[in-house]
Amino acid sequence: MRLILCHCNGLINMPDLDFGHDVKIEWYDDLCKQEVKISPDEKVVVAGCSPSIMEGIFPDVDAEFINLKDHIFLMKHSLDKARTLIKAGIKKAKSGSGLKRKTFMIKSKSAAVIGAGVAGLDLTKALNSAGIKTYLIEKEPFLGGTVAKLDRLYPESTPWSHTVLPLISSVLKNKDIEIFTNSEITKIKGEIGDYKIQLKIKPRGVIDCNNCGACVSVCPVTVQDDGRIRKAIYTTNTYPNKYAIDFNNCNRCGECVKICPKKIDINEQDKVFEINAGAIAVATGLKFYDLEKVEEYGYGKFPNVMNVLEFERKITDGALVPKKVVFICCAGSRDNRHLPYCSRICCFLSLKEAKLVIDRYPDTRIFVCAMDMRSYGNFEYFYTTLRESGVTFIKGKPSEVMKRNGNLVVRVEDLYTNELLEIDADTVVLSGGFVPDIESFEKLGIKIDGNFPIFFESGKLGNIEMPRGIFVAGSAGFPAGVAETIIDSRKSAFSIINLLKKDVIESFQPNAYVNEDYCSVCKTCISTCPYNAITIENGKIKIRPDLCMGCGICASACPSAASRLEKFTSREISEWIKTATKPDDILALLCKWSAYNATETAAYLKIKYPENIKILRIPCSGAVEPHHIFEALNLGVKGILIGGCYPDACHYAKGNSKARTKEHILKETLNLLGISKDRVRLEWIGKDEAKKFENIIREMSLVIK
Amino acid sequence: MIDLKKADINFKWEITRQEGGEGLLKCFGCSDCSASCPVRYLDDRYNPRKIIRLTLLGMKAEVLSSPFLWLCAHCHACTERCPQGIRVAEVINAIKNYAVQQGYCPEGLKVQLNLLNNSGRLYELEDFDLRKRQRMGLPEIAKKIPDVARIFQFTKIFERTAK
Amino acid sequence: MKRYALFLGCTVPVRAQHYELATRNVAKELGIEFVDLKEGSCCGFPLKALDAETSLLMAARNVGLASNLGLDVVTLCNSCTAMLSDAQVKLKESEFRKKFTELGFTYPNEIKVRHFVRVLYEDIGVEDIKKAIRKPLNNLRIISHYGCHYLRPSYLHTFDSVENPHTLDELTGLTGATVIDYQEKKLCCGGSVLGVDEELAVKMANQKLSIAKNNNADVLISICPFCTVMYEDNQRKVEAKFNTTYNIPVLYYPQLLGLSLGLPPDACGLKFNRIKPDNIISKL
Repeated sequence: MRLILCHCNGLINMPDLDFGHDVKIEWYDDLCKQEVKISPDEKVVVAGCSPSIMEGIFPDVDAEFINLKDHIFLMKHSLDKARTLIKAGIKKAKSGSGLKRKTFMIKSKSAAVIGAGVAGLDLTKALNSAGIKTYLIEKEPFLGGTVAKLDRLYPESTPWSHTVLPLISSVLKNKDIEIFTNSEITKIKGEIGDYKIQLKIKPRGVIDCNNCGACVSVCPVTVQDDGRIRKAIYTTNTYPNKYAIDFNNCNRCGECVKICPKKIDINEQDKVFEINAGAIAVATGLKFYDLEKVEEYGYGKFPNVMNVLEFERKITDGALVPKKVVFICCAGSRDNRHLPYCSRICCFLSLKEAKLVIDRYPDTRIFVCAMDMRSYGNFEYFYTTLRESGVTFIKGKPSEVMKRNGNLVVRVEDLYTNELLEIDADTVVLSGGFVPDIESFEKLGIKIDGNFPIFFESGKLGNIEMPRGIFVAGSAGFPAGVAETIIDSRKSAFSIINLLKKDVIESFQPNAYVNEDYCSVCKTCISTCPYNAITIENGKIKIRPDLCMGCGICASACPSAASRLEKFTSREISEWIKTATKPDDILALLCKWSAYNATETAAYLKIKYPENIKILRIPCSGAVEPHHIFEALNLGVKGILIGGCYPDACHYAKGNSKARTKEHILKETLNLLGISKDRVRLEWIGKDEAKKFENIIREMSLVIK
Repeated sequence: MIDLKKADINFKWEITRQEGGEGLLKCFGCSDCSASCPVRYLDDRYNPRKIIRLTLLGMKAEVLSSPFLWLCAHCHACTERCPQGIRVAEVINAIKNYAVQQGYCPEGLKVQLNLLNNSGRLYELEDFDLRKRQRMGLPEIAKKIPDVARIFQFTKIFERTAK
Repeated sequence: MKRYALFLGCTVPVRAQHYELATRNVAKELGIEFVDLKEGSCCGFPLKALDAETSLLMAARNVGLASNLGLDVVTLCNSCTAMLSDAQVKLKESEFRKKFTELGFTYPNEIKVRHFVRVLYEDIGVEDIKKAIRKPLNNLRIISHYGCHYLRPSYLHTFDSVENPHTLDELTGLTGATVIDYQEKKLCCGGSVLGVDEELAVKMANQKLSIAKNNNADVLISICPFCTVMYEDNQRKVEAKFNTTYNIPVLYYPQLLGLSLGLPPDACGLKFNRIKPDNIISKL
């Protein structure tokens, strides 16, 4: 085994090192500048500066890092301790089975984009400009998404034709873009780099069309389409430029077939089509929360209570000329009974709609009720414009919408005046929130909960080093305006282009794995994983390497020690503790995202802690196993400090809170065994809190006899 | 003006420790409770939002001594509407309970307590009632329920209301 | 035969015997058997404002009595329903259960707590009641009053809809009467504040009485003795305060149902109503 040591430009010097015949010692003056050749299947020990820096210098090497700079030389601790730490590192490296390199082939260089709204269109255009073959899949018969149903954009207030039409024309007639309207994903197989996607293309009914519109005049079925009234056969002014039959509402009377001078087929069947893509983007856009659930506001009960989309379409259609309108923001949002989160854009949608009315009918009386007007950024100017236009803003959440003498009445307590108001109106507009498109993600095999945002960094779509090849763009990730959507779709385009230009992607991040000999399939690990990376396949537990982030929480929760984290197995930790610690030592197991950094800060700030503190860098406080604690106590270690991140700040979402739960159980057990519970401490230590680290160590040294 | 120098920072914590007072701190002051309240609709001396906000500010004496606290009809209209899932009527009730412990118990409640201590029901079954029940063919029921007085001793309710 | 433990509470056995009588007679007609909780005390609700824990222990004791019989509880008063339901949930908490046990009470079987009207709706069912109607009350216009604690808080009741309640209207409709549809079904009678501020309570009661009058209701249906105290016993006070005349009889739902089942008015306790329901009897 090679032991690679760095002098750190003269700081680190250790004469006469000898760790036995099988350890080859190599010194370098400055690893930051010098090149070291290490073969991919080699295991090495590297001693020098902070592991977080060395990880960057050796990104794809299976190495055990030892921090001589911060823990020995800047601390002015003994060379003896340094030798012990190196020895422990070597023992740990030797006892482990090492990192498994994870490799995925990027076989298909095409991308599939689901949803042809602003996000999907812009993404398709961006991918196309990078030379990527793109399949654009839209479930409706026409392109354009929600925005194409609107009059003007959010937040620019320009007509949608300014943005959506150019986007649509940019994806048409391009041999590298294949557009599927009226289509849905039915089946998906494969993994990153090679997805096989089965599409169902629903019948359009209209085969050949010259846009004469005769069909509409004979169609007997009227359909309510988000505030507009249309027939069961209809068209829009986007693309494709031909009519379509809405088969959910069509009664198949055949009148259109008779009158059509071209060709309509009402008996057309579904078609199945298969595509192959290396990456998939979810751009399914906004999904409105069902406002009928907010019973007190009377949506679905009173025809004049509507959502923003319906309102905008009615106004611009001329079907509605209101005299008095009340907008209710947060209808079902920031509400534990409905959507606990803020959907971010709805306050502004109310403002946009208010302006839409005022621009057309300046005499309209408008009230906007909001608990808090969240007009973030420059939208504040828009809010001011509306006040100056005479809109009345009321602070408060209306309790209900009633009907009295033919009018709607909104009851609200106005927090500005403390008075109860009853506002009568002919129209009430509910600015409701939006919900994640659980169904679309589920079709791709991704379980998401009911919350926003869905970014791939959050682990739902794979981890940063190893994405699962599924990306999200626009409002499908988090409700967004058109400008924000376009920025977001460009970011996703970047990730997709980056991925598809490679032939293979590899990861060296430690992963959890399961030893099937020990696993009893108790499923405890499944519930502990913050990333839903653990599944059952053919009755066996399987941990997906593309989703695992290497936190080790599952391993620490496994009752039969079957689940393990690479480089952090019980054997490796035991070897390290046995070699590194002496009786009377304090063992510090410190989270690499916070508490461990505090020891480096201590070195820079020259905040001293005693020689007998032995620090092991761990992925998460939640990864510590009770077994390790007992083993260390058995060896005579005086005290054990586990350092983690502050509440709600865990890098792995909930590792620290799991550590806290385990600590309580552990202390009860220690109590039963007659061991003083003071010997084990779990503390939250921020990356800069060297002083806190020192204080805790001092306290522990004093308290433990 | 509210004089925050008089604020008692422990007041809100005291209320959260009362039965039913748990949700108090979640309040973000949206005013849905007071807009839903049938009492506040007719009489704005009572306002659940204001009581909760004053409690959060620590205005203990002001809240507990207010006679309007007792106007809550416990109808739970507020509870049903609270977007934060606060059981508003229960929180108001917790404040009432705390007021009682602090010596602000309405006389009417003490009368009811004594009645219940005597017979276990608010209306004692007089001979007249018993005869009427008999005449109507209604079954006999116990005249006194001594268990109730036992519960009162157990929870030391008279000591709590003595202040 | 369906069996339930009947919990009467304070008011019903002393002040609303006609409600009790009608309930028992209707139950007999519909194949419901009651086992009386003779040792039933006050549900605890009147003391809730004083000390919630004491009131919950009182309620839990009553739930325990029924549990020992292995029977679900049927209540006649809305507040008793909420109070006993609250205790039924509370009995699942170990700390509360400990105190309950220390007092020597037991809760051997998990049982349900429901209002009689809810039991009619859920266990007997609209279809079966419909079949039992012998004398449809076709000539009556009826306004129903749900009262607060029949449905609220919904975390205890999980039944019907708080915002758009319908069960009592549906049941009232079965009697053949015309059910008045109106918006303010959720209004509170004001009973809880009667002891604190009579004027306010009277104002609250007036709201629904005036809605009843404006809708030409022949009778107001109540399912809670507290609400009846406000709408019937205090109707004269409301009239005096608002300088109007209502003279609207207030019947408990079982009284109305009893009439439509063909029971004689006496068996429904009609002669004990304070506001004489002569208009109803004459229309029968």
